[in-house]
Amino acid sequence: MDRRSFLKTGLLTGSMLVTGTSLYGCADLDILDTDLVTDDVSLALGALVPVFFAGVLPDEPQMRKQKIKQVIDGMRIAMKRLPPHTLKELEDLFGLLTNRLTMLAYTGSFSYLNEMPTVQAMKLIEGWRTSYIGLLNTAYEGLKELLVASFYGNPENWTVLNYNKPDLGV
Amino acid sequence: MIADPIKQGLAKGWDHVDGAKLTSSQHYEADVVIIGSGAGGGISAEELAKAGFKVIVVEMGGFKSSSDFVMEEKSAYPDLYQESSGRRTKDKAIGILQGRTVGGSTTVNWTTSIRTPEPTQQYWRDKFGVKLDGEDALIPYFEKAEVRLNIDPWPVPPNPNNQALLDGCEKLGYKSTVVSRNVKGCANLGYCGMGCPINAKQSMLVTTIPGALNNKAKLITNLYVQNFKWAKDKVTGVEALTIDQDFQRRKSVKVTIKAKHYILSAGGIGSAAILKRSEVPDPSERLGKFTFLHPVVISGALMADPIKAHSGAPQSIYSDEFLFKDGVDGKAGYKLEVPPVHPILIGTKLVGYGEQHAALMKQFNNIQVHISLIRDGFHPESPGGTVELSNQGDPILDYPITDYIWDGVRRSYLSMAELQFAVGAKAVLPIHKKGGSYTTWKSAKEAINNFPLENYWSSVVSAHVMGGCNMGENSNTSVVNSYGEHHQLENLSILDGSVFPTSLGANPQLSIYGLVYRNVERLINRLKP
Ligand SMILES: Cc1cc2nc3c(=O)[nH]c(=O)nc-3n(C[C@H](O)[C@H](O)[C@H](O)COP(=O)(O)OP(=O)(O)OC[C@H]3O[C@@H](n4cnc5c(N)ncnc54)[C@H](O)[C@@H]3O)c2cc1C
Ligand code: SF4
Repeated sequence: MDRRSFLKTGLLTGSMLVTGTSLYGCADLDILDTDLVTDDVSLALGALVPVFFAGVLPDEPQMRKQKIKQVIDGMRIAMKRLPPHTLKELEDLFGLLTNRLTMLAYTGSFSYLNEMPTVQAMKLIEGWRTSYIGLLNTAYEGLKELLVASFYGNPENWTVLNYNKPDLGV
Repeated sequence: MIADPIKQGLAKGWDHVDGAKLTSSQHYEADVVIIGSGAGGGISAEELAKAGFKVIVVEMGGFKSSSDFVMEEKSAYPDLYQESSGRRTKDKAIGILQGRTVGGSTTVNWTTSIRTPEPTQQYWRDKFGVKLDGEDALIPYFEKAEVRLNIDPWPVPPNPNNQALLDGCEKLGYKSTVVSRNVKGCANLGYCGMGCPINAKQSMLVTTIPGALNNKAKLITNLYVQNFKWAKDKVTGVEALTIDQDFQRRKSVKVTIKAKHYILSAGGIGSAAILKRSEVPDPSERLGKFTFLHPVVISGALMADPIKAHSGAPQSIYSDEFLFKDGVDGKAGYKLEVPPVHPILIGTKLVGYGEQHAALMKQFNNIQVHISLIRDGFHPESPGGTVELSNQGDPILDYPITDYIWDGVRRSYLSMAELQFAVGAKAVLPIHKKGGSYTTWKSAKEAINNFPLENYWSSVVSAHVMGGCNMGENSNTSVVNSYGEHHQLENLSILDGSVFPTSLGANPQLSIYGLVYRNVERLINRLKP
């Protein structure tokens, strides 16, 4: 397969993100019992968290690792409450993120996300963000939404904002 | 300790069934079953229960109350919003906020209360023959709602976020209005969107739903209405599935309900979805179509002084300067307001990621935000969206953004930026992927005029879903009549925001309260033995 066919494979998988209907169906809700954040997905997300939160993650390696894990765990909890059709789309998105062929298509590097230097992971994200292909845009937005909600939903991280919720004295 | 009226009511013996706790399938019967406990469902439930009817209210969300409202988006979004606040249109270009909890969207709304604008009512009379005159006039019913829900102009000075809109309007000579709010004892906290922690907001959760329960209504929560059963010209029953703690449907535990009359108050998208799943007759072919959103675009501004837009009544000023500027059916008009600014809400919207995003988030307290709500549905090029069903029956709104709306988007960005510079913004940040941080009105104007206006480039959101089951007097061009009575199914009424034939050009709650008060009064007279 040449580079263009790789791209096409990636796009085909990805097209489900947009239609939201392709694969799931019938009556079965198996997806609800599947942990979509597999070890591979965790590793890939682990490479993206530093891209999304550059400038607010701690520098100290242990604390940094801990914070990255916290963001991914928060995301996993939030996902439990999403409707099946959204979970199906996330499964497809995670498929893209853990697929070496798509990585090659989007970053020019035949390695997994977690093996890439951060600059290259950034290239992927920037490519998706500014792509004229709708599904890559929605993939970017979907990821950003989940990650930002997990990070800034956590009161521990409100120090970045110099914000706190009111104290009702109860 | 803040008293929780819901916990107190339950302790006193309200008739509440939690679908999530049912272990076997059940059947219930009533005079009237109401599906949805939001603006339309709440008003209907209290009136019917007070009139002595045996009422069952069904709600797919949970019975959350002030003790659960801890002013954190992390729990509020999954607990209180449809799809954990992640609902989007089919192409994902528009994010949709809707409530999914007892009280519906009123439990999480921002309390702005505005009567249906006269030009909108006139459009409905002219195009759909909607009855709004003489004894059908809405004014007495708006007044009734204003008394019941304590709706009054907000007497407290606006928070700095709203003050910026007021000052900008004054500087530029634009119209502005002080918002009326449905609150009692409001402490000006600013957390209306996460459920009011002190029960000050007069949402359906703390007013009409308790009113109905005090009059012997039964409330079944965590119960998802799948469809109606019907035969000939009558609905014969409701089929529903219970929902588990994670808001997922349980196919194993079902509920059926039989009643003499059925009221659909599942809101925009929700009501049309139930009717579509039920495959009811739809000779006008309008069911689910003409769903409107007041598409919203956003403009941020960095101010020299702290704004703390998370604090204080979220909306206290609006401007209708551009709402009907080009007539009711001319170029897209828009209403200017401000939103509350909370960490997730703004974090997901601010452009970019990494260092760029972090730099903005660090200025969280100095971000002022304007929003522009575009009036959709009054022009042939603004047909709104269509409710479709996913393979699993979940509603998905297909809402293509037309060039007509995009034109309104561009003018909205311009108006908002001009207003923000008028009050001394250090930089204006239109929420658009091409949008930078502009330090002069001239540079912002030039950039906005060159923005590509397409899906995903502009961040577009909606908190006002309307239509999909439009009212009208001609059954060829409407789903229900002016009174919400279904044209084909005799014992079915739709009493919620889904009956509007267009958007409103005003935040919807008071329009729904007024119309539903009028229509449920008529229904009560009709059903009385
Ligand atoms: C964040 C936010 C802020 C807002 N701010 C304002 C404001 O300041 N002023 C204003 O006027 N309006 C505001 N609105 C909009 C306003 O609250 C709504 O337009 C209004 O509540 C709609 O009333 P409704 O009866 O049509 O539907 P809703 O109030 O949404 O109620 C519908 C109910 O039906 C339930 N339901 C749906 N499908 C099913 C099913 N299949 N089975 C069982 N139950 C079902 C839902 O869970 C929901 O509880 C806001 C909305 C949001 C989300
Ligand atoms: S602003 Fe008022 S109504 Fe809104 S949450 Fe705060 S106290 Fe409640």
